[in-house]
Amino acid sequence: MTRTGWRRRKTNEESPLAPTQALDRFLAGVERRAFLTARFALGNADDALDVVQDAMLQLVRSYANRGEQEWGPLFHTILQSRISDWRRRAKVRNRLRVWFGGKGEDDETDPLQNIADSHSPDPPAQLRDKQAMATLEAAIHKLPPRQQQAFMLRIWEGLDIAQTARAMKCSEGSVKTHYSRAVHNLRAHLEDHLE
Amino acid sequence: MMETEDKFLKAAKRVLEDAEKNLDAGTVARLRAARRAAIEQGLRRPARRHPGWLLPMGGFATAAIVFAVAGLLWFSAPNPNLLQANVSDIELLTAHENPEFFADLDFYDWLDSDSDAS
Repeated sequence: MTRTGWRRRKTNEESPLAPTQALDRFLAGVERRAFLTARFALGNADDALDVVQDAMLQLVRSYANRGEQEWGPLFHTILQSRISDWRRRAKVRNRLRVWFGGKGEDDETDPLQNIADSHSPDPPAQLRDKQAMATLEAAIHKLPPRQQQAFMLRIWEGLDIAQTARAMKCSEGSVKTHYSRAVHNLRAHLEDHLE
Repeated sequence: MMETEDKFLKAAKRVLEDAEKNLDAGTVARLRAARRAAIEQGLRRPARRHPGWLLPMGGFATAAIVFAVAGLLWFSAPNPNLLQANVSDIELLTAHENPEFFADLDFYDWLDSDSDAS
């Protein structure tokens, strides 16, 4: 290691305050989208929160010393692999539950979802927004996982094809295919709702 | 066709952005707490329980014990009684005589010495 490199590393390790503030700012900027992305994928707010916290922890633990401009793509990649891990575990859990005669996880509904929100400044507008959101969320949740990832990363996160391919760990051609199928499927389900 | 697709995608993006903006206060608070916990845990260095020199010292001590045991086993002289016992066991196992013959071996020894004397 060069003398300058050693000095730089030494400085980073000795002043944890600067990375703390930068990390806090970065994570505060991405946490809401990350949560919604995870919720669309997993269909459950609690699991989505767990997955987002795991992804945040992994980023801080492993990449806090990397440059800030690298955190975005790294965080997307970590989040997507955490979501895939969760899905895999849920599939195994569900299979075991079915074998042992229980109900599958998909059959369960969250009773909190049926309670109306009474703190609404403009009830008709909020209801319209909520309905549009619920319809879109349900349609995205029904998409196959790879199509879902491609759609969310391209449309919402604004990543280009190369960045999306890196986050999804697949080729650019696959991203194009998944994205185009996702848009086609969503339009077939939602065109009337989102006009 | 492309125009309709663009319109659809813009509408979808708007719905998603509204959802992000209007996230309920409870979820926002939980996300904030999760972020702070992640930063605190992630940047915390694992506490060093032992001084640094203890690890190589422990390694040397273990190696010395292993060498001592191996040396003791290697250089210790074989036990003659043990060897003798093993040889007699092999004789018993490979003999064609009835096992009862070996049980009465003392009697045959006496008989033999008695006939020699007479």
